[in-house]
Amino acid sequence: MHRLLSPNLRWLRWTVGALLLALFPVFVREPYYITLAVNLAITLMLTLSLNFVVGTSGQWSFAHAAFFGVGAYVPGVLASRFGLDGWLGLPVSVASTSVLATVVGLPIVRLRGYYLAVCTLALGFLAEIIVRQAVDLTGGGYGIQQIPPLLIAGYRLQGGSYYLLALAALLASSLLLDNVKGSTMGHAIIATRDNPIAAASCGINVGRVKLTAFVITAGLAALAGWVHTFYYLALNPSLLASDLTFLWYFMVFIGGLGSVPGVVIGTALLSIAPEFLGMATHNQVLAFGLLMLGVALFAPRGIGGALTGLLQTGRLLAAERSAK
Amino acid sequence: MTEPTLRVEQLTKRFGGLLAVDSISFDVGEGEICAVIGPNGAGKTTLFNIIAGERKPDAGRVRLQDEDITGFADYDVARRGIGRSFQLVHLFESMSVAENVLLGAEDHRQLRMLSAATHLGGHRRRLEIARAQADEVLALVGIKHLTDRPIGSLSFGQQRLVGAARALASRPRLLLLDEPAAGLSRGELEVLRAAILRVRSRPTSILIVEHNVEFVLSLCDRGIVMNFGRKIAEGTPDEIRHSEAVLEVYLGRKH
Amino acid sequence: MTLQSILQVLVSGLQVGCIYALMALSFYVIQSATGILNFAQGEWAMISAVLGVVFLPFVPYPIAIAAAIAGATSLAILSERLFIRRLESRNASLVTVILSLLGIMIVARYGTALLFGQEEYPLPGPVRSEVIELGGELYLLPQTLVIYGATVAVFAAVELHMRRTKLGRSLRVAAIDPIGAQLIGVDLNRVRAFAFGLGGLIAAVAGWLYAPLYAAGYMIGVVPGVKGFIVMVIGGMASPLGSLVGGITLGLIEVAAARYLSSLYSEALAFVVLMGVLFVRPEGLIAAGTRS
Repeated sequence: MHRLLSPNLRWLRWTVGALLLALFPVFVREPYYITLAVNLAITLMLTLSLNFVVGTSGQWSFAHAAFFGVGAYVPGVLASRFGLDGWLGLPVSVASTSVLATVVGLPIVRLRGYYLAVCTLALGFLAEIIVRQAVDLTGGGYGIQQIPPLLIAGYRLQGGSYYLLALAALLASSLLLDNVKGSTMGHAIIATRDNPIAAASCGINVGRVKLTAFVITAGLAALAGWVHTFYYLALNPSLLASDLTFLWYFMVFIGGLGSVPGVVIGTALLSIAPEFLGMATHNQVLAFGLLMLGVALFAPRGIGGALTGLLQTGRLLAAERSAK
Repeated sequence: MTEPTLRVEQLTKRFGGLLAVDSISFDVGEGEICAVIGPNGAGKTTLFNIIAGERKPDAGRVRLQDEDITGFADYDVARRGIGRSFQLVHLFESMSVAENVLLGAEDHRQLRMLSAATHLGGHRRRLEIARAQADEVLALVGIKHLTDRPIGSLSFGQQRLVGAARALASRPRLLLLDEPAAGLSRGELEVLRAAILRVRSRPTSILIVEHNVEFVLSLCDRGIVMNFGRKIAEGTPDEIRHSEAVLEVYLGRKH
Repeated sequence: MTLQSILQVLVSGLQVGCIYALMALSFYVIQSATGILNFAQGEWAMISAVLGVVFLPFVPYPIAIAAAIAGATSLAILSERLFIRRLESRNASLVTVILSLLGIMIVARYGTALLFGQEEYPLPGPVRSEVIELGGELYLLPQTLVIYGATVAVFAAVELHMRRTKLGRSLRVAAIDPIGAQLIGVDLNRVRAFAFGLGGLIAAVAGWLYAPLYAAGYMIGVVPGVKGFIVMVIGGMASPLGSLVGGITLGLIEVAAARYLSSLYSEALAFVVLMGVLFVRPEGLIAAGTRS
């Protein structure tokens, strides 16, 4: 659980980290690496929010790609078909996805285990089907191209400048999740996960807390979708594919469910390695699946668990040494 | 005379054809320790669960001082000022003792999303107030020395005390204890007795449902005895010990 | 809505429904005995069909069927031995188990894509005769009759097996009371291995019924798999009959919706019905022996 460190120290860490990361496009100019970095930022937003809903709040959500896709499509369609400015598309995207998540989530939060998994999986499939079929609105299987880009004072956001936007979105997401975990609401979410009966006896409205966690996750997925739309300036229904959700789940699990550093490292490794190995998407998913099975069998706490284990061993050794 | 902390009026609950709680009425006064005893299947647990908001009664009323809380949901009952412990303890496994108790102290009535996301808007102040309340309660129950221990390392009796501390952290007017003595050693029973007496002096009213008649009669101010869903005796511990109805039930003696 | 079209809808709907019912049965057999919802069932059906395409050029038809079905079933049993058994013996968390089941599904699907390629090939059915004309404009594919017959046979066989044979009865006992079953000497490991094998076998058979109508390729397991577990959940998890009734009902409604409404409604239907059922009675659909 989150312990409030000296607050000044925490602010310092975040600010320094943000500044360091922001310097990236100063040193790296090639579009290939910039795209890699933007993709990584987007994927991190998705895996961190998935880690939150599954790890911190204890609920399945196999509809993650659906919320990502809706968050991507809404501003894209509005910009391309109805001329809505991309910036205004941001609150519209997050708000509409959150409303959708609330409506869909209200009946869902009562479910648990396999039933919740199956239901959210079904929702994910349903969303993809609907987007593919509503051809007039979404362009069906072909999607939408040539979405008008984001502008700042007439200056088009792309490449290195877009990276900064993506980074800002990532930092905002992470900070939000970190803050929530350390707040009363976050404590309530964790308590609900651990023991809903006990949580109710503390005055916690378990249903509302679960729904809130679910909706926050959907909103963050939508944010990632918005970032994706205005970088690629195109939409296609494979953004809602359940395969994507599985990919993110594997990343989260290999990184270590519940461990933020683990998930960050896991996501980074699993996003970048296939690029450098030149793997096609199918082989990527296959490799992740195999890796996932290996981790499940031999190291179920993932990379994060291994890190914690190392830390503990280190502490024990240090304690022994100082005792001598 | 001031309003009693808890007033139960004609409470009735049926399960199919079985009358689990049959028109039970009693009061718990301010700062009073009241016991509910009776053999297995007497309906004590059902009565307890109705008061705690886990079940809705078929008839009757439950009043918390001047408020009618009949049929309120469990979290709502907790918010109005009734804290409860569990027979199976039900602690938050991933947290330490202090964190468990903190959760009882925190105010969960409003979500306060914006404050949670930004840590602004009085967030720090509220957390400090809750921490102070939790600390106080840890000392009151006598488990301050266990503050940072993970739940898994505690004995059963210690876990029970943590559960009670968590229930008390929100400063409820009424504390419900569900078989607190079950499974405790002699030493642990003494610790529990002392803790209950300290709690009462706050003042907090306490309602104990308990199987261990000896333990609870030595502790309470008044009590009621249930059998087959009905109240068969009521009064001070002495009155109960000498009540014919009670003797008949527990000893099978006929007069 | 002519009589012609209604009859055609009935025939097609029944056909699709039978496939769904069989897939649902393959999920049911495993779920009821072990509480595990094995997402990979659709992939065993796919692998069985793909193996058929691989073997057919080299061996006579009956041997190809047998080998393909045996191959897919072996993979199903292997997945249980290699992964599920180990996870269960370590008391792995539900999260780990569910994600591992997903992992197995993904590996089966994309492993096949890697080894077999991404094209789809036709798979001939066992009966090679002409399309049967039933008067008017009503057509009947011989494969359709094969599907009907096979479905009835499989369901009957499973029912008999679960009532008469020792192994089958141990499945039922484990479903109703896993702890009690252990007390009377039922080896839960064996039961689970057997359930996975039986489930894999049923799925493999379903693959051979399904593929001749469409094609054999690495993606064909997705739809039968998804629809199969939806039908199992909808149809009720108290007995195999629920899968049969649920599957046929869904098949009929789907085909009718596609014919008389639009394809969007037809595809979305299964999911909408599933969500409706889960919302209304999530507890009522839990069978004995389910972990939640």
